[in-house]
Amino acid sequence: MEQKTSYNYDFWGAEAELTKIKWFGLEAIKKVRISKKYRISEIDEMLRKKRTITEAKLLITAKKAKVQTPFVYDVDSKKRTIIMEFIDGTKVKDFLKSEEFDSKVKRKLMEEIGKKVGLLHANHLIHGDLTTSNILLRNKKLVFIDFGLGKFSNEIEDKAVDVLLMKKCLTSTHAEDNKEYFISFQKGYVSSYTKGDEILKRALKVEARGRHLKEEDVISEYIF
Amino acid sequence: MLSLGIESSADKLGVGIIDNNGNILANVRRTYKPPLGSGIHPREASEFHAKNIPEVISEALKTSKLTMDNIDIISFTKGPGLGPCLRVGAVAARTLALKYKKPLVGVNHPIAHVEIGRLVGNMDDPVVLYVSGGNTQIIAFSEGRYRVFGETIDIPVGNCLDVFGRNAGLSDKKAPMGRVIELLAENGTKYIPIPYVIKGMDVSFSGILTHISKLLKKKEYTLEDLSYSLQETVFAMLVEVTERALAHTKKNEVLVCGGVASNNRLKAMLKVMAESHGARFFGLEPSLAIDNGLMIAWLGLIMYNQGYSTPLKETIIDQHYRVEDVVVNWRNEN
Repeated sequence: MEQKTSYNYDFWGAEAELTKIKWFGLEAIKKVRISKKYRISEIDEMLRKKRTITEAKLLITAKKAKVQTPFVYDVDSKKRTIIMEFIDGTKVKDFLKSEEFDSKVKRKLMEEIGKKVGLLHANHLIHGDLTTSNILLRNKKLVFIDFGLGKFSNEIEDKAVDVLLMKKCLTSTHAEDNKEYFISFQKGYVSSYTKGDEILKRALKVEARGRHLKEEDVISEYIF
Repeated sequence: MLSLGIESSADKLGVGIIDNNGNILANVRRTYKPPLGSGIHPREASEFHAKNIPEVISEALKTSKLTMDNIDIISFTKGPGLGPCLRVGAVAARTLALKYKKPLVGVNHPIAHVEIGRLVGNMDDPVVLYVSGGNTQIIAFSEGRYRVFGETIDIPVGNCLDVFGRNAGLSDKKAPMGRVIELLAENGTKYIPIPYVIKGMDVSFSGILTHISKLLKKKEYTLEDLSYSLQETVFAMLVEVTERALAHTKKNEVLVCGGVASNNRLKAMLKVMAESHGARFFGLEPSLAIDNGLMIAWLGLIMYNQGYSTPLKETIIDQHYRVEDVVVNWRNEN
């Protein structure tokens, strides 16, 4: 019996259909990128195919960078489907919002996330959608999921945007402690990635460029 | 209670008058037109506004058959926008307030777009796609404020379309550039691949503009096909991030506003997306979607009724006035 799951559904509910299945006896997630009627078929086909392949490649390559991700069991680019390990964990978002843990533990976790993102970037892997909903906690270990918007790149700009996605997520979803969390994240990031400082400097520039903000408004939120 | 609103944040100069029940009594607008082939020059736009504002105010009063004595409050755009242009509206508002002894309310421009959309579209709690030549944001209400869930990390989508049009040598004398491109796109048949750039819930258009400008120079493709391909790509990006915000916030209404909201193709795409999630879609008509004085009047009125008013000394403009800076005490938490 297939069972629809709400596993991470609120964020990716827009793009893919997730179903919990058994795959040769293993608990697995079937992720199908569904067709969108609002866009022309050329764009629809291109995006679904590209994202399926990119996600599978990044999930696999991330492991080599010592970042945990779900095991990829099967990829079918024609059916826009990935079958991957089911991660029985908690979203970092829920962990940070939970009152069970004190802020020291939460800051430590953000530092750990920063370290892992630093490892991804040191290996030229861009997640593309870094949020606290796309990182899970299983047996006290972090597991990164949802690489569909990611890519392989060594561009400073791409890495800076990744960092900014996390910063924005912290601001919008964890309004109360976002500044402390982002500081912890950066500490971890520069500790595992030697070029981290440079990326953070660019992140400030990107942030001030696009929004109705000036650099001096946000510079205090960075640690470089 | 009657509110007169002045909008002058960019190339549009608008004055609107609205009452407590949302009845539209006047909505007059004039547009500064830069020379063919160039964009808005802030100083020249502000000179246009300064020259025209007395007449636009008189026309709004005449249309509504009112005099300044009937008006209860003066609203103006505090920001964001172009400094010189914003200042003209603020000076006019201060002058009226001092001369006729009326209270002043300085308002946030994007929130005014959202509130006029909620009024006219009869919407309760929409996810809002705000797209124009100066802004590209996905806005929704959360925890007591309007928050930006996604936005452009470089240029606004309307700017991307405008510059493409100018590079292609198109004229916007007879119709807005977006409309000229939309009409060309309707006759496009071939999709030419263009980069599709989404970063989380954010979008980016500057690379797309560079790419399409290069394609234009090659002269291998028709303007119709290029317009079609550009529109399909940038609109698909906008609809996708709006969809993600809708799924994320679990709301059930979608509103589009801003100058680019006049585009029929964008509206059709948003409608399909919204309905696929069981959400209701509403797109404003151009007179209310494009920058206008009425939306400023309406937000000023809502805020005044909630106890807001701006003391004369604090009526300074803010070019970088963020949506999140405003405490929204006129809406219930949901």
